[in-house]
Amino acid sequence: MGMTSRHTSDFGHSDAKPESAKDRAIALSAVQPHDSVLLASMLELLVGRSAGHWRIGTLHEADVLMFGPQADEALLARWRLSGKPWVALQDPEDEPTTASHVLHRPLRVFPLLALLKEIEEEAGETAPSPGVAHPQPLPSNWQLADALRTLGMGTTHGQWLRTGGIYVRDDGRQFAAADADLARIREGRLQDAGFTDRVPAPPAGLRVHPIEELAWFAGWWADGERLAPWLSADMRFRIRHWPDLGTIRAGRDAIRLTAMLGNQMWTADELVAASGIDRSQVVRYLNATSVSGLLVTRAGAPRVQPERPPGLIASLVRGLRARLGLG
Amino acid sequence: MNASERAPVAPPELKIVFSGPMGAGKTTAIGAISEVPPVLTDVQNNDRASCDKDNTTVALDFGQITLEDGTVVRLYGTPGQDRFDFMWSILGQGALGVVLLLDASRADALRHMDQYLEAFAESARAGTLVIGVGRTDLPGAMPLHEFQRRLQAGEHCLPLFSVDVRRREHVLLLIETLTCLLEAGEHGEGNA
Repeated sequence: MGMTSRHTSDFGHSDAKPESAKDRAIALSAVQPHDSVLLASMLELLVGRSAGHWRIGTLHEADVLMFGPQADEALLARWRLSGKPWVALQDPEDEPTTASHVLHRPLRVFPLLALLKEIEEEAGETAPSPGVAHPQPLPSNWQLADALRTLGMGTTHGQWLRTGGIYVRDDGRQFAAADADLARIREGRLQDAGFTDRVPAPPAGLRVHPIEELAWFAGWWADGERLAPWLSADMRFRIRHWPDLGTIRAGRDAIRLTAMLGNQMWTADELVAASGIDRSQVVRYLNATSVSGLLVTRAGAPRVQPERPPGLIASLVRGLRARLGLG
Repeated sequence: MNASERAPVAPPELKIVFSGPMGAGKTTAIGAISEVPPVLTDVQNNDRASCDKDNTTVALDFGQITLEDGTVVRLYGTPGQDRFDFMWSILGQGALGVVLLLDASRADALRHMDQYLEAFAESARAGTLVIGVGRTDLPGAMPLHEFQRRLQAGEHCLPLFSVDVRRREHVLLLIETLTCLLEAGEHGEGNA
């Protein structure tokens, strides 16, 4: 199951805050429901048997990510950047994984206990343990975009987070901005300062908009040369659903790329080759759709599409565009 | 008879269908891009309970665009009233694509979307259907994400935009998107 969306919620969810420093949370991604239930029951059984008090939690608060075979590659890549343990939940016959830890199905209490103790020991070490990635700081131009894509994954309070003159609801669904700031967002002139404070409500008079508009442009303008830190060139991409291009007012390149990505999975290079669209536009588009939660990703080697001679449809499309002044 | 003596082959007749419930803006949309004044088959609306407008289409609207090579693209607007639903799928047969217009201010907007997606299932499956939702800014209007959620529940990945078909550029956005879908269909091998 894809997991790039802010609103996707196949993580186990708990609004409970840790009661002590030893409380630890495990976020789940693409884990079968019966495994989730089993895991939650086992964690209850293990209370008092390990140093930490383990429970299922949200991605936002989690110390560990446990994921199934269908987990979204972009989510995993982003998690790796955090340097926290990530546990592949798989069958013994499954292919080896690059995850920092593996837990085999069927789930059993003692292997789980051993895993949790191992993670606790690693957390107590001064040097990172082998297999656990070093935390890497996110480039400064990605702060707002990254914050937007993870909003709503954690606990929400119905409050608004402020960045400059823009206010974003902490459930990641809406933002409020003055028209001048909205123009700055659209033109990429927004100072990416991250969120600075939290307020109960935005100032009166600011218009409230769906978050998609801000997320799109935050991703679009973050980088025109490189894919977002959580994406990679060998990933294949598809669109979960179309952006509201009526609101975003994106040009034909965005429409063409969306039409292609709605049809099948492509790598960035394949998109550039097949569409003839400038690479920087493709990169910006993929970044924008990723931050907007629209992009589904899968790891995989590039597949070259066969060239097809232009047919009746291509000629017709050219004619229609010329006639309607869409050239 | 050699090739030069053959009768000229008539250019293929191609059509784009504009569909949607009464009052969604089909006639307006066709009028925005047709090179001839649309042929209208409107009569006085006697179904004020469904839609409060003076006239409604009882047969079909018709417009056309002639391309430089002589190819004629015909624009058909389906009648919006449910009792003419038998015409929707007939008009949809062989269509290049379908532009479905919905009215977010109507309480039954989602039901309408389901109903029309079923009538134009062939175009929806082929990915040559684009949806424009109007009046999203009115108080109490159905938010666009509810339409999107319904589409995803039906496993449709179709373009869905908020539009105002009184603005020609919004109608052009729908047509532009349709042309991109047609182009992408030539690349595609179906959903991966």
